[in-house]
Amino acid sequence: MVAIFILTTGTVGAFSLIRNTLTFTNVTSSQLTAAYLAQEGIEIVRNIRDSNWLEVRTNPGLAWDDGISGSGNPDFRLDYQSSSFPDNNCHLGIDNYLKYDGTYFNCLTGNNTIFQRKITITKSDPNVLNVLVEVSFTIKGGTHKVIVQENLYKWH
Amino acid sequence: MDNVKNKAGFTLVEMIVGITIFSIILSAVAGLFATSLKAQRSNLAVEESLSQTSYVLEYMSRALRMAKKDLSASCLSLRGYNYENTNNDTSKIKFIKFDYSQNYDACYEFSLQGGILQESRTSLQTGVKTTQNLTSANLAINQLVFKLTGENQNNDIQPRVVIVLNLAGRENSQLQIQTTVSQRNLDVNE
Repeated sequence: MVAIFILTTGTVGAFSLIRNTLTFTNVTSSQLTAAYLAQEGIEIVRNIRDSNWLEVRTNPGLAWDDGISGSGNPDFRLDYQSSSFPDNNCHLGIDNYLKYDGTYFNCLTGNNTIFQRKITITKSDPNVLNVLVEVSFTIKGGTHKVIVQENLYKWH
Repeated sequence: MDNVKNKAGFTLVEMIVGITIFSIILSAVAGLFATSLKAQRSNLAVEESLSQTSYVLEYMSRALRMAKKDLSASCLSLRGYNYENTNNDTSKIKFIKFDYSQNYDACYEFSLQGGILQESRTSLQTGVKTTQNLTSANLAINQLVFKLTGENQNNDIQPRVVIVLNLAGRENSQLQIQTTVSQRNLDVNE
């Protein structure tokens, strides 16, 4: 009896270890996707700022951070096509999951993915936008996050 | 008689029960071992595809950020563009970037050649073309997309490139990656 008990405990322990390792691999893959989605969030906001700089040459009244809300309120409405934040053309579901249309992660078409991208922009100074992107996903009950932060300056 | 019986270690029934239990446990352990081997193999495959993916994406996004405008149509088919999908094929992208190894600008192209991501660079000084693979044959790329926005200088939109990479490693590992890169050189029309 004792021997069987020890053997069973050992086997079950080893088995759950293997299962966990498999789950972690899955998490690692999704973490890579999440990291690049977070990077995308930062780059899009930077892109809007740089486009403002180009536009300000013909439209001198335009603010350097036009179309970027630095209210500090977290918002999920932004995707690869956005030209403002929050993007009013972006219609995510109630849970704010990014959608996948077979090619792009976006906020209009396709099925929900496991990823949520929360963006918080705070204007700590009239010339600085503090962009915080948090991509979270849930695998087998565990929630994981990738957080990226960047300061964008009014440099022109 | 009693003496003889005591000396004989196990009865047949005891032996059979013992062997049965032993073999059940042995097969469970063997099965576990086989499963862990399989898991190990798939983990290694995933790890390999992850490291290749992050390498190739870092490499491409760094190059794409540093792209320069083509002012003489020497690399792209039209003057005043920053990027171009070669022959309107969205799985290919062409642009000019400074090539540190040659100390001169080169015309870069990223494209998919039989499931392998390839970089080709043509020196704008000598016209010499070199190609290199950025991924190995183990990494099967199902889909590669470069989506361009504002690539023309005649608009007030800073160029943006969306990179989509959809790949299948060995052991059925699947990965969908998307990121966007904004060109660092400001797209002032010249």
